[in-house]
Amino acid sequence: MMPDTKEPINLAKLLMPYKGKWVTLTRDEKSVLGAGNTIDEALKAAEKKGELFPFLIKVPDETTGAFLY
Amino acid sequence: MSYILTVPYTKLISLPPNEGIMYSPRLPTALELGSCRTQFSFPSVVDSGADYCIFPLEFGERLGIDFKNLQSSPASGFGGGGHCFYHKINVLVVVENLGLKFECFAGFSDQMDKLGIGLLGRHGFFELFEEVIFDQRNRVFKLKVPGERPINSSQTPANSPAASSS
Repeated sequence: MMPDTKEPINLAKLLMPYKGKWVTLTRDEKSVLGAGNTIDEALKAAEKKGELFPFLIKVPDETTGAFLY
Repeated sequence: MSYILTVPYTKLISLPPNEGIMYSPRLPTALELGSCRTQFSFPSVVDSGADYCIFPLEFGERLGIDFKNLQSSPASGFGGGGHCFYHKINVLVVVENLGLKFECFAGFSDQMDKLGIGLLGRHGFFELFEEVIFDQRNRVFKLKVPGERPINSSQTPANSPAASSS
């Protein structure tokens, strides 16, 4: 029987240094692989670490959104 | 027969000066058009207020969609509105280690480029399920899927457009 509740994922601390950047994470969303100003830069950083299908996010800054991740 | 998938909300922290906490129902998503698939997955918000699934325009361009030849429609609701281009694509989401794939007319907007997230709306996504329950107090959402829970890690729900067209 599956439990009804689970702990929410918390990425906020991890992403604080990357405001305004595209960031690639490991597939389990627990570690940062790389970051850049463009999607391609972030994907390239992930590829260098051997991840060809990373989890991609845009970390908002003060101008684009109130909430991190 | 049906089964329930339970997904925890994602914790978000707002920027100063508020520094509040918000919990958001999100799923890892990828997009596919023919043999072309995004080289990454990205977060999408499960949004009962969205008529359609909406994604960043840049993600559609990466699938090879030529937006110059498509007519846009006005849209509202995210970032103050804007215009959306619609195109039929396959959407893949991961829920509790199950891959769900469905076909839908999805919108693409440059307003979503700023956010880098998708919206999973009623057309396409919500149609897959018997019920979608937002349990705000326990910070989870639940998807009641028709049919028997598959043993393997990838499936197309029995009532999805993708299943009926194949």
